[in-house]
Amino acid sequence: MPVGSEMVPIAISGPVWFIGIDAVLEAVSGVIALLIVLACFRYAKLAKDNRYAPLGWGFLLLFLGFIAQLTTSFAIWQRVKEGVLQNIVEITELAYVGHAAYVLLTISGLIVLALWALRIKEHLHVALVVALALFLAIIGITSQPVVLLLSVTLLAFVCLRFYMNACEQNTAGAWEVLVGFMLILGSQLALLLAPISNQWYVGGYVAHVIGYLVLLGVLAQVVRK
Amino acid sequence: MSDKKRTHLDIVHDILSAMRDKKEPIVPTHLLYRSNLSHDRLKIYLDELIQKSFIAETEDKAGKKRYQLTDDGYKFLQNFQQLREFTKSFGL
Repeated sequence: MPVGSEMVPIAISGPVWFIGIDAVLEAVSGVIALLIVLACFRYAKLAKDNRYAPLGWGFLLLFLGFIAQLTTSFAIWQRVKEGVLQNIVEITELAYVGHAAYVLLTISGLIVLALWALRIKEHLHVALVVALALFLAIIGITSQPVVLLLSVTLLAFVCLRFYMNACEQNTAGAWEVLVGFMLILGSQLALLLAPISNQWYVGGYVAHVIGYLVLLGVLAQVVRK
Repeated sequence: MSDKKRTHLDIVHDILSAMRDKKEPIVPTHLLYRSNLSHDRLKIYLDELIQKSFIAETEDKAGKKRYQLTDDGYKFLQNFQQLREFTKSFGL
């Protein structure tokens, strides 16, 4: 989600030429997230094993976050076409609700992945992590840096898990998954720096979609087996 | 076939492959030999595979237990390479 002003969380930022391209890049990431969800549920069904569930549910929530963001962007774009001044209240409300849905769904997805990465199964520990992360996510609805820092923290734990897995398995696929998630982590760091320069904004979005494309490459290798 | 390096998925694959290769209901003794597991561990795996409907337990005329692959078991074997690659890549 674009880094916003203090008044409207999704106020447009980044270079003007990039408007619309960012939405397309997000849509590509969303489709790849959906493919990962489908793969997880297919393999869970084949193996009759719920070990695939956390990854599947995590990516499903991330996918729903992308949908919330794209739906909001499309709805706002339509209202803007009708006239910004006539629809300013509606646009502001849409932006707020859409951004809130996006933040809560995305952070929920990352929480599921981080809980899985940390192998936290104790109910009280799960409750503590979920409560703290959702509390920060709610603050993040009106403060983009908070939600980005939270994403970075959760993704760092996920990357750590994938690093340990890559060291243990030492297969091309395991290292590629790590690279993919490192790029997604890097994209959040770049978006944090977006207020400094538009280049960070563009770089963040590009790194994000490349990360997802790397994960798509892993899926393609799996399917070819 | 070193048990130390085999994952849970690999062991399931070995047991199901033994049943597929036999092409008729298999006795536990033969499975013990083919799966390279202790009797107790094999029993745990067989219970799990029956519960997941990958195999079915039958009895021969002498009342001895035999095991055979089900359709779900065949599907698992057909997609095993994909399953293993996905599981290893994502550390599942």
